[in-house]
Amino acid sequence: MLDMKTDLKRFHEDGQFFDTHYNELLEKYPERWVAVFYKEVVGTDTDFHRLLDDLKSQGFPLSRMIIKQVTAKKVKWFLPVR
Amino acid sequence: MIRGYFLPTDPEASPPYVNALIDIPEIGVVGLEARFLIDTGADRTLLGDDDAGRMLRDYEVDLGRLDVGIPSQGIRGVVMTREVQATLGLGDLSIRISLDVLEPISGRPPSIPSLLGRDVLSHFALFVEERTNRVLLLEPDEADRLELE
Repeated sequence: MLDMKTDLKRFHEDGQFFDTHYNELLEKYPERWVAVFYKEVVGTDTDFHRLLDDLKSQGFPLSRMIIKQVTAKKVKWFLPVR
Repeated sequence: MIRGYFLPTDPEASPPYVNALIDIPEIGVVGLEARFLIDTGADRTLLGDDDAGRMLRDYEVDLGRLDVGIPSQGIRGVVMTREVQATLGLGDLSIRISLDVLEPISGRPPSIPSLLGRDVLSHFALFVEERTNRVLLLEPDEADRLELE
């Protein structure tokens, strides 16, 4: 059975891997969505939804993965204001 | 104490994040892992469209089954949300909240991160110091032990 605490630690480490290797990922996979699992790039695509479908068909647990876009663009987020 | 971290996305002002586990029993979601941007400007906690997209695909959730939430307004326009009762696992703590889920739009890449809003942050004292790389959510007894006035 999955130990959620241990897995959250692994999720955190995958996130750290993504962040610390961001520039390398950007060079290798510019403007693509990148999926990381156990500190390995397991999929990339220019289309987020297609990447999800591809990963799911390969049996990856999407709910436990880091999937982020690597982009050179500066992104500004907005706040949810009601 | 819940420990978060800074994402080195902006060398001049790295945003603070914390990881959490999300359970949404009514749609069978257990242990969805997500990064939340700590956002003191957000009144409610929000599951961003990329995390929502992962959830929808992995658990084969039909968002149409969920209650329609209040639309959120931002500089890019109005976005639709769904509202669910969720349990947020932060370290050893579990917090029941009404979670807004941002609806992913087909054909449009997701753009909004998950946000930890004041409905959750109000349970903690928030300590954010980039100089020492500390992002801490302190529980009341821990905050009371600080000699700050």
